[in-house]
Amino acid sequence: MKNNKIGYLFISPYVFGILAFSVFPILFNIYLSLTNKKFIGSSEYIGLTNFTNLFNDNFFISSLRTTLLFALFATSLLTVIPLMIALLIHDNFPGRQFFRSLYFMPIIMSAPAIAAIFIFIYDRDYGLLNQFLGLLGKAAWLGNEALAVPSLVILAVWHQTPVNFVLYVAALQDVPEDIIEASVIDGAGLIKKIFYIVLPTITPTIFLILVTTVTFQMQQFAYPAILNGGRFGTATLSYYIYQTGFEFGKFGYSSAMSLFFSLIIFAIMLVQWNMKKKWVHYNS
Amino acid sequence: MFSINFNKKNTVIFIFFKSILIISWAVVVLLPFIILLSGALKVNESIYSLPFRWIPKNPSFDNFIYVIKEFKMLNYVFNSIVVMSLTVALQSCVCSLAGYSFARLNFKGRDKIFLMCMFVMMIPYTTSIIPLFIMMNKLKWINTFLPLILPQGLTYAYGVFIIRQFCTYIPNSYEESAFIDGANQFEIFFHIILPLLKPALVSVAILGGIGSWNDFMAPLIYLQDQSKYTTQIALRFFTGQFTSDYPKLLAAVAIAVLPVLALYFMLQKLFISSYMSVGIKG
Repeated sequence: MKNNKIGYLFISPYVFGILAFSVFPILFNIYLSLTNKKFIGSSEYIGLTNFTNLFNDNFFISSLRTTLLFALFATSLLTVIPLMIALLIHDNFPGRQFFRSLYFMPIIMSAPAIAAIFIFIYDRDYGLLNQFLGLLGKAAWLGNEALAVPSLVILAVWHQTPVNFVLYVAALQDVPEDIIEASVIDGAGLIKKIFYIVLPTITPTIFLILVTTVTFQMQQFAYPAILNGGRFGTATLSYYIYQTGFEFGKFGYSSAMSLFFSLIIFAIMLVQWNMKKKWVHYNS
Repeated sequence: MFSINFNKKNTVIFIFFKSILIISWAVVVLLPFIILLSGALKVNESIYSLPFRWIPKNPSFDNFIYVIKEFKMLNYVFNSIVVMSLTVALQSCVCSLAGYSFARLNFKGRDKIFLMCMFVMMIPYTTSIIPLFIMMNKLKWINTFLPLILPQGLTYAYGVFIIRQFCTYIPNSYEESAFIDGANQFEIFFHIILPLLKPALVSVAILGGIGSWNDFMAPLIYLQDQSKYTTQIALRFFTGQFTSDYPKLLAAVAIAVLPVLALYFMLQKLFISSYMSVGIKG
């Protein structure tokens, strides 16, 4: 087809939206981070002071630590567990459809909804988790800093496994039959089948899951907000950024924090993309 | 389809072991839902009992009635429905126009623009919240639904991605024959492409609709009147209110979750395939 200038017209709402609600805010954010703008009152240029203040801010450091630990453990589990479950129900058996539909349910619940339920599950004296583990009266999941990251991780894994589960199910269907059959003839057992054929074939999916899961966990905001308002160590950096801006009114400082936060996320992504060549195979 | 089994005689044991695991995860998945139902139906009975009573002594809908009458839960559900519908409507229009253009129309810089847009969408949302708030304040849109609808409605990258992907599967012949018949690009888009896009638009509507329904940060930041709260914000508000009457909170959660759950039961395949389509070709 020839040059369709009308294309510009068709994409204009979308591009306008991106410019107005994504690009401009980012640029504005960079400007704000160099000021001490508060919710009320004037703002002055203070250069990089906000950024240097970050390193003396204990709560910034602790929420960053919580976020990184949470992202690390949640992503690891959310990469492995959904795969195991997808492998588990891979074979055709009566009721397989039922279980697939059932396993998808957790993600249907919104984060505030499921977090509200987990407030009870995590109760120290009557909660189901402690009843199950025999730790009644002892483990304060939402009242003990040491248990903050585990409580976030458990919730995240229950809630978000279906997202990656579905991607793995789709990926497993593309594993080439003939190679599997050839390996069986060669006497390959289950372990060999999985590690030498299945896993290499689905590396693109694993990569996609790693990147999206990490990014999503790093920005987690609703879980700490609902579970216990970010107290006792559950506050993630996202939540602290929100608090700094909208509860403490420090717009300039919050902007600087979120800029720094973005750089961290980009760094993680960069590392992941660089390592991609080493282990992701396409069309083996 | 390859089979997850050992090759030899241990098959029976293995199947037994697998079944235990499959059922165990099913139980783990169902537990919170059961707790939700059980707790919400508990009246005049403490949810704090050891061991946890799965079946309430006198199940009743009193908590639901209370939450609806005294705490106006249905108002908040209605607000969510309004925001969601408008957002999805806007997304469908914007994403279909953009997705089709990026896939089929030739104009200078098309692919560069597309890449730029995708790149920008990867920047964390937290970076924009304060600038956006200041912008919305200048526009006097604080405490309205506009900041909840417009940004998400106009910049839904997943939607553009899905439509663009889908358009590559539409044969060129449709457009070409219409072109030969003298149709202009507008007519081609509205009368030929749009009807063909229906399956993809359903996926976009489901994903975008759920995203809007579950949105927590934007309503939290922009809605100040309690009457304007959406379902998710109402839940957060209730979490602070019902600390001594947990079953009522659970009743509110149940009402918040019900619409999406009902929709899921009716449209299961559609839901799952929508989530899958985002993962195509990484």
